[in-house]
Amino acid sequence: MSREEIKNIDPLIHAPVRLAVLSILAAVQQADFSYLKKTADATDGNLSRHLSKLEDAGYISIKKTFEGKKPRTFCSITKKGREMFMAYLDNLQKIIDKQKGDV
Amino acid sequence: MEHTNAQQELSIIKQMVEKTRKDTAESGRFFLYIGIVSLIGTITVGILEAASMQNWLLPALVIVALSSAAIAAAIMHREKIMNPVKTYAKAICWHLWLACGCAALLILFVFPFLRVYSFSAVPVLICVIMGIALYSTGIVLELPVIQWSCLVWITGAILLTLVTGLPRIIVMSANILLGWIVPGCLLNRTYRQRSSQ
Repeated sequence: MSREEIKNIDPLIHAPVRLAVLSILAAVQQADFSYLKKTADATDGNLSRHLSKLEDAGYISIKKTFEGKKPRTFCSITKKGREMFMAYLDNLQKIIDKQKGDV
Repeated sequence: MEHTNAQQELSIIKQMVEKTRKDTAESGRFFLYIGIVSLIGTITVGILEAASMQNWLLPALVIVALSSAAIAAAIMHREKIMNPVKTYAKAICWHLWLACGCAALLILFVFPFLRVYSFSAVPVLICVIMGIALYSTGIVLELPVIQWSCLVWITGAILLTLVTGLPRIIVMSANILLGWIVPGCLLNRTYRQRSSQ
């Protein structure tokens, strides 16, 4: 794989948990923390850390609300996050296509 | 990144999208519950008409409309509390049904009293509104069974213009059964099958 291809892979999305989170959020309007944890098969602390990184990069937005006395955290993908995720998919597809061509 | 890694990443994405799709599938309860209330309401109206108890027609229609609205609000509230995922498609559908529900209320309780048209036109217009709402819902949620149930309602609307009296109640009941309750049952069955997998 060339340097250019490596450069094109967004390291922020590359981590499996963050990739799973963005894949879920790209398909929905919003998802809560417990759903992301269950579906991405992550622990509380691990997921929190990854969500913070994505939020700091402006890829997702996090909204904390209360339903009665119970706190709930909802995450949604931002416009920038969606664009970066789509670019990431394009790059993955290009790598696979190139490898297939080489074979 | 190697070829296999890229494929693994694509498989993670596919897996997540599939899981989310399964978790956000339509349960069909909305169609089932409101369909049953509407069917009971239609049969009640038929019995009242047959028994010449015209004074009870309006209260019966108000009770049916309020019950349907209450059920829709309860299902919506439950979805909001219980469902951890909110999709754009479902949000669009709720707004569509809210708009169609408001239109149905105007058709049922406002325009006939303002003598815009006679009461006999009410079921025909309700069927047309239902057909439009179901077709749009089917398209947005990608549910062909709901999309094509609109044909039942449009056919029913045409039939309602051709008959009077008791046959109208039979046509309307058949519409609710075939165009609402049966698709609701089919959706619910598919949903339970997927959930148990």
